[in-house]
Amino acid sequence: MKLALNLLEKFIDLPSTDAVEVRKLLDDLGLEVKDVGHDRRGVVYTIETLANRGDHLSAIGVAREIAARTLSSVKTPACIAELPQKKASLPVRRLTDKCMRYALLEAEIASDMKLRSDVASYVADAEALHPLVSILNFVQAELGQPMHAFDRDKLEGEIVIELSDKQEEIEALDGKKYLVPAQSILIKDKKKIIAVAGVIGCANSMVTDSTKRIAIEAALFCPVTIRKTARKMALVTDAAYAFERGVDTEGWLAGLKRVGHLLGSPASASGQGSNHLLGLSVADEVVIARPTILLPLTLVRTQLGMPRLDEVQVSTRLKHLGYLIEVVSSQKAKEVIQVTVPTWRVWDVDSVEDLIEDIARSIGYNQIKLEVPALDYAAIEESEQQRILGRLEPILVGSGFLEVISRVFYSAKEVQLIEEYAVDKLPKHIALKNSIESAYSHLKVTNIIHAAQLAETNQRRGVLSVKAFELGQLFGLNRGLTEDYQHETTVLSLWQSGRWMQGEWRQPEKREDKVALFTGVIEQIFRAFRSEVTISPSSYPLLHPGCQGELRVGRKVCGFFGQLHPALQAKLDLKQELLYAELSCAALATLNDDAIYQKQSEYPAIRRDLTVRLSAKQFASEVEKSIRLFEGFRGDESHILTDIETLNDFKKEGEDFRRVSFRLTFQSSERTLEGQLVDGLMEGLFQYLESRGNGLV
Amino acid sequence: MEIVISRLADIRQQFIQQSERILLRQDLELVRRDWLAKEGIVKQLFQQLRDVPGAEKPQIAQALNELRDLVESFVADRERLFIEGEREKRLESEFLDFSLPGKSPGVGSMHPVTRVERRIFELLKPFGFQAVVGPELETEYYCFDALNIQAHHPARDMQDTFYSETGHVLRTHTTSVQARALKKGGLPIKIASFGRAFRNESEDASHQAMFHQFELVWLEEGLTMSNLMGLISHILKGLYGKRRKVRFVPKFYPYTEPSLGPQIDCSICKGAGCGACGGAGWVTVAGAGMIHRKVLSEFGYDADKVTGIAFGLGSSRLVAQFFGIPTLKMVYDNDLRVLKGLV
Repeated sequence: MKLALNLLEKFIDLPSTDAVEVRKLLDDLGLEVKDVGHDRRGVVYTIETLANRGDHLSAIGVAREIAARTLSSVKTPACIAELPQKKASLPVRRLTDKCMRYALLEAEIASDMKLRSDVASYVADAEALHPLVSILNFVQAELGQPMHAFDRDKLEGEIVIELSDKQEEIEALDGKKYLVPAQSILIKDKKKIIAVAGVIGCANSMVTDSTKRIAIEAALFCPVTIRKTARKMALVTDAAYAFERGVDTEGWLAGLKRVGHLLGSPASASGQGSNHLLGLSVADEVVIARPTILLPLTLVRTQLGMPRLDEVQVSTRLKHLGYLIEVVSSQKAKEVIQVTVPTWRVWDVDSVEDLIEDIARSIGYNQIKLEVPALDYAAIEESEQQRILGRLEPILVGSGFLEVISRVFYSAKEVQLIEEYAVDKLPKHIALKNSIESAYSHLKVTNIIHAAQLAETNQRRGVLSVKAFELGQLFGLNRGLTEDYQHETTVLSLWQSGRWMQGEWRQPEKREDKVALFTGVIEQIFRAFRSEVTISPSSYPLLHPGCQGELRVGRKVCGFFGQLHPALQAKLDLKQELLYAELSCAALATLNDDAIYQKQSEYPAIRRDLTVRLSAKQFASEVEKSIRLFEGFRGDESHILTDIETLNDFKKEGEDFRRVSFRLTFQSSERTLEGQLVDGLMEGLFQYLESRGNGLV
Repeated sequence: MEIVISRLADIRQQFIQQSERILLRQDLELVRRDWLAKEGIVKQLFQQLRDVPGAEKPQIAQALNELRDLVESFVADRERLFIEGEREKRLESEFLDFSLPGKSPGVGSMHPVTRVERRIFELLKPFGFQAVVGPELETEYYCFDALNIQAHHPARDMQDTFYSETGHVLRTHTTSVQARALKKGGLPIKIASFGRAFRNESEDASHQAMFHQFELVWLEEGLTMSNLMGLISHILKGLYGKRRKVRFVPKFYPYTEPSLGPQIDCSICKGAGCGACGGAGWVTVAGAGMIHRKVLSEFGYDADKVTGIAFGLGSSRLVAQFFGIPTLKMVYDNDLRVLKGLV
């Protein structure tokens, strides 16, 4: 809202007329000044008013706030005492309760009507507008009541206010055509729509230089209805802006009386004094009750933390804001006052908290003593996500991974790409019904596309080593594990593309080296949760069929990892291979991460190496699992096999199998082991592995 | 005696002449063998000392000691020189170009948003706050109805909110997380929620469909507005520095009443007023208020007894301010060069 300082001064004696001081005062009252400008009126403030305060959209509304702060009086402008008793020539009829007040004041205006200089000094663009329109704008700026003028001679028959049942097209005052949605309030005469109530008038009845008789509309419309209509028409007019926020329920009367004064008085704004008020038509009213609230003063004191606030101080502040006050009980224990809300606040005040806010504002928020609440170290608790991230950070950050935050959205094109590979194998995508951005039509079910896009973008920018991770939600129809999280789940995704090391000058990194490093990070993640992960064959359709695995702790599936499918990589224009993993946070959350002392053996360890043959596509983890399952290690001596380390994976040219070497560590916590015992166990193990097709080399 | 002394002088001269011809380490070994070994010249001379008459013995012994010292110190010095020479030669051959680059997996980093969120949580810990999370695909009830945002409120417009085919909305604020915590009941409630929120709007440099928010809620009997303002002042001074000024202006939010907007003095003009702060000298950095009676009642609390305070801010904007990132868009651009620069 634009508010000229000279207009404000008409309504209140300011503690200081210095523009900077006035700005400070307005800011402190919650009337945030966004800009201070100058035009022919002098200093003009651009104020961002509060969304619930329609009464602030006028000089008198701002003056009331200042009056409550400075405990001074608001000056009301000159008005005619009574509106004409005579009925206007046009009868009005209200057919909807969405219009709560409606009046038409008819007048004859001088052919050479001019805006008087003392009024003109308050109007920014007087020359550009018809003097009558300038008067109406001026009165809205003064009192907050939007009004509209019709050319009386362009209207026919009864004026009807009704709710439309279908979409209509109009040509508005601005010369543009608009579609007016159904359920809008329309003002009609006998033959046509003459205005979209509270939003804009129609060109067919607008005032021009040749207008002789006018009909001035002053009304009160339902804020929600006006807002919906204006939004759908994509129109932000001063009238709509005010009606949306709720105007004074009696503002129509005050507005017409003020206009009557400016039109009818010999020394009026119209200059020549040849205007005449002709008559008034008023539709029947909808009753709007003024809320009455019982306000316990103890509540005011405790909520504000101002124990010394007394009844006089509270009542005085509220009276200056226009509230009617009646003391119900003055007993110290039950000090209660009855507060009746003024007509300009019926839209936003209905509870004691509203009154407390008004009291606080009038005193000044910054007058309230700050009191930091008591400390309480007893109940500090991190969220599950914070806990998981805290465990993972040293591993991921220490390995050069950067945390990123990607969008939750996928476009229809990206969804199509995923479903081309993985239809029926991933959770069903959830569509967004109304996204403005076309790229945000769905919610993502996997992070792999964003991972590839991030890698591609950064590699194009010259980043040679892409290592990133993200802890966030993935979506999908009924994919969640609980009722609250019905369609989403929290996932840790991490990915790598390009170099692993920062420099590659000595020797290029091999694919298998990067896979081993990536696997190493994943293993470390699980070790942070005191768990050993096993990797078993998988068939995730978005991953390379020969380079992927499922991650398990015991029997629990915790996620998967692998290389992005080369065909998908090509479609995403990614030049370098991408390694990608998704780990379920729900699964990680069930793992133990308590750091507890574990006694270590003081007896020497014995190590034995063995090399076994594996088929070309057999996972080494399967052999490791077989070793652990060997019954020789599952009996009394089960505790002595303390570690299995994979040493080497080698394939000789011409052979159709691989040679994989393992190192087994044996150690007892109770005694020194004899080599003979271990060798006997190893002999049994060899035969066991041979029987499972993994003979010794 | 004279014969012995003169012979010793000759022997000494002989040693000097031999030592001058030593070029290699093996030559020095020959000297050691010829002069200092068991059968060496020096040892033999000392053995002959037994035959020297008593009166001459001291003088001869002294001469012999001098000869032995001369030989020993020569051998030791020359040996040291040989060792040093060899070491120098080896070191010379072991040269490595240390200007060549190192090999490292690099150092990663948490996202600036996470870092700011942690900083906030550290400030809240002493008050016993619990960090909570909630679903991002939220019901309209928790996102709006429970928070006194009525059906006609602009926030619920299709233009502002993402509506999904499941009937849920993408949460427009993290306040929905608080609504869920309030639904669980109990007193006192002290929770802090950090997370993503979503607005269905056209994106530009300063408007993003996804952004991060932080909010806290504290429910207890006897909490006051001065508690709220004291807590906010503590947090803002902890975030921005204790010398920054904090003030409060009235605001409007549907789920709080009274509502207030905490402001800090503009870091650029120090409160004098400049283009960056619109001439005000102050910048609004958060939203706050006493939780609305209707919200408390919605969750079954006796609003005449229990009061609640709420405070929230856009952590994405805070990130932009803290790290000097020019636009909100860049916070989410995932430019790894930028993120590495902030490690």
